[in-house]
Parts: sequence; structure tokens; C-alpha cells
Amino acid sequence: MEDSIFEEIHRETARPLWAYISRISGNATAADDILQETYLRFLRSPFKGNDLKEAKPYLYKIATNVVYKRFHRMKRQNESEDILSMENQASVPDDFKEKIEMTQIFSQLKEQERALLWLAHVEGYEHREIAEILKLNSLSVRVLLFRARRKLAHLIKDKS
Amino acid sequence: MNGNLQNSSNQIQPDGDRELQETQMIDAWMQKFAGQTALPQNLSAPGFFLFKARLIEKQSAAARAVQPIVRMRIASAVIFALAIGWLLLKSQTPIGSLMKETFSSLLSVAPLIVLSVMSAVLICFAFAYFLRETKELKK
Repeated sequence: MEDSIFEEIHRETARPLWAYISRISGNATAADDILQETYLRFLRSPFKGNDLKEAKPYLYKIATNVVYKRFHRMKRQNESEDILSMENQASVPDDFKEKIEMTQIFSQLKEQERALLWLAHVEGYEHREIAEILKLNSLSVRVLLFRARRKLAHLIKDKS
Repeated sequence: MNGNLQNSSNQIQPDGDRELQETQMIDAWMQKFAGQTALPQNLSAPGFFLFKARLIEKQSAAARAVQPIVRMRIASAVIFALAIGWLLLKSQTPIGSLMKETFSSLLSVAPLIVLSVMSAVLICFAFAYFLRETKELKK
């Protein structure tokens, strides 16, 4: 892959990919490492496309694999623990409390559910593309996404 | 809003309104949640990834180049050991006779050894399978 093409891909994908990794792994500190591993795997992969549209889902696919592998090693050593301890502090501003609550709610979902919701609602991918990224059947994506939405809705209602 | 929202609204017609409302609510919630993600100020530059990828590629190319030599060394060591063993067996030295005795005694219990090895392998596989299943259940 030519340097200029990779630089363009990196420019367009690095931040959204970091956000995706950080949110589905629930660990912002590990996100940098995972992002690095993702790009290195991408550069060493047999991917030959020069198009950002093709590269982006491929990067998400690699990132998801890396997160899943690391997730089992980390065993949820995630930021929700830090957040729980932070929430106990009385002097936390209201908007920050809301952020903490949202993160806590999201961290109660399974990693696959987080990935499904993020890819569908934040990245705006179609079911077919999500199936490709998460290595699922596209019919299963429809059902799993529906269940994930329902679970998240229940969690939000419970919290409020 | 995105394509999935429209897809979902089309596919869930019977209990439509509630599902659509829920989907819209989740969509709004997810957008807000994504907006709150604190992105880092500095991410590694693309040049760093390119440099590191090339370095790793060079290292693995070097390892690949050395691989046949390593294999040949192992093969020659095995052949050499077998040749020495064969020569010792054929010779009339005390070591040769000791080896002959050992081999003949091992041959008499060969079925037992084979059976033990097979059982051990089976037990290992069963244990690994059990561990994997337990992990899947825990997930």
C-alpha cells in the first residue's frame, strides 16, 4: 500500500476507530495499544484496496478481533471500575455524572452488543456490513441488534 | 438517523410504534453517548505505523530466510543420532548390548505404552474441551 493512501485512510479513520475501540472494550487506556495493533495488522494484511470505503469496514473488523482477543485476557479490567469509585465522590458535576451513568449503562452490555449498537447507530453501517465486520450472519445481526436495543432500553429505564 | 433505523422501522410493522419509538430513543441515546467520547489529543502518526510495519516485515522476512537452514540442521542432527544409534546397536560394545536389552524389554511392554499414551492424549483433549465449554457458558 502506498504511503499517501495509508495516510489518508489513517486521517479519516483513526479517531472514530479509537472511539469504537474505547467504547466496546470499555477501556480507554488500552484503546491506544489496540489501535496500534489494528493498523499494524492492516498494513501487514493482504488487503490491496485503495478505497477508504473498503478499508474502513476492514479496519473495524480487525479492531473487533483484537478487542475480543484482548477482552478475554483483560477480563473487564475496564474503566467502569474506576468510574464506580469516582461516582462515590460527592463533588462530581452533574454533566460528568451523566457521562458516568451512560458509560456504566453501556458497560453492562456484552462486547458483541456494544459493537452491534455502535456500528449500527454511530457508524451507520447496514446489517450486511455489520455482519461482515463481526463475522455474523446478516439475519442474525437483525435479531441480535433488536435484542441489544431492547436490553439497552431496559437498562436506561432501570437507571432512570 | 441512519439506514438501520429505516430498515428496522420497515421490518417491525406489527407492533410498530413501540419498536420505532424504542429504536429512535436508542439512536438518540447512542448519538449522545458517542458525542461524549473524550478523544485523545495525540494519536500515533501514520508514519510510525508504516515504519513499524516495515520493520516487522523485515524481521519476519529474515526469520523466513533462516527457516530452511534451521530445519536442515535439525534433520541432520536427527539423522546423525540415528546413525550413531544404529552403529552402536550393530557393534559388540557393552553399550550396544545394553541398548539391545533395553529395546527388547521395551518391545515386550509396547502395547501398554501405546495404550497409556493414547489414554493420556484422550484425557488431555477431553479436559481441553471441557474447559472451552465452561468458558463459552461463562460468556
